[in-house]
Amino acid sequence: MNPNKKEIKRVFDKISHDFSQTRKHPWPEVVDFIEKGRKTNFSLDLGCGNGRHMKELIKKSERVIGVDFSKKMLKKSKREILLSGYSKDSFELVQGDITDLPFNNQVFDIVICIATLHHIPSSKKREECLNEIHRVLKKNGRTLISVWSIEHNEFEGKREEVRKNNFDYFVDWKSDGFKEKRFYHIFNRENFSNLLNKTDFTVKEIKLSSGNYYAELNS
Amino acid sequence: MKKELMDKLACPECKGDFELREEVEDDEIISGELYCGECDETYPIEDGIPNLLPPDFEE
Repeated sequence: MNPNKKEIKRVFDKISHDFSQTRKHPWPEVVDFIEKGRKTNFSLDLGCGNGRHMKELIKKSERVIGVDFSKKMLKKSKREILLSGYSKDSFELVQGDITDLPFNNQVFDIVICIATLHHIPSSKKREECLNEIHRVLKKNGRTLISVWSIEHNEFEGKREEVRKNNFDYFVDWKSDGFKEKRFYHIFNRENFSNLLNKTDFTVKEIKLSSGNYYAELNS
Repeated sequence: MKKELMDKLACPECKGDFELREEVEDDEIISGELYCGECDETYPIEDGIPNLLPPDFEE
């Protein structure tokens, strides 16, 4: 049985320190997406983790809002962003649930949701998350969503097992003195495309890169 | 959080406006409460970070 959101949050709170240490660098696909756009007012990073992509958004936005359900992770991102020399006026942090966003309609020029949607444990909630992104995005706003692909090397020799388990998958997180299981829903191109097509978005492009699917969506 | 963020925030449940209560400010809001009158629900702000997880999140 899949874990509930509370359990997933507990794991992220617990691993926040090690998680942050191993995720210092932004992903090049995300940097490309951010850099090719014009300078904007407001950007949103859903599942912001330690803020590595928020720092890229800050370069192109007047203000960036990072959302995560883990308070520990949010504190890490605050520290990391300030240590990198960015002003505290350039960003805000909000503890929230990405399937029930605490924002007004059509507020953001850019929304990114990187390696986050695949941690939501039900297909209905994954769809709700995407529709919430659509709701808070301005008309003509840009969105980038990434999820883990079954084409990733991690799944070499395990693809049949993943398919049999309805694409739900657990990864062990081992650290000093503890072990935790992290939940993922893995995507192939067809089920990612089907999910996106159920939502209010127009899909511009789905790319496979470094074992992840990236979907660029227009409102 | 900065006070200007209030323009963008909405209740996670009904998407209505919040009322800011009991705020402690330095040059920004350090602590306080965001109250949704429609849902009669209060959300805390601690360490400058509003906790807007829906009430049923922890269930």
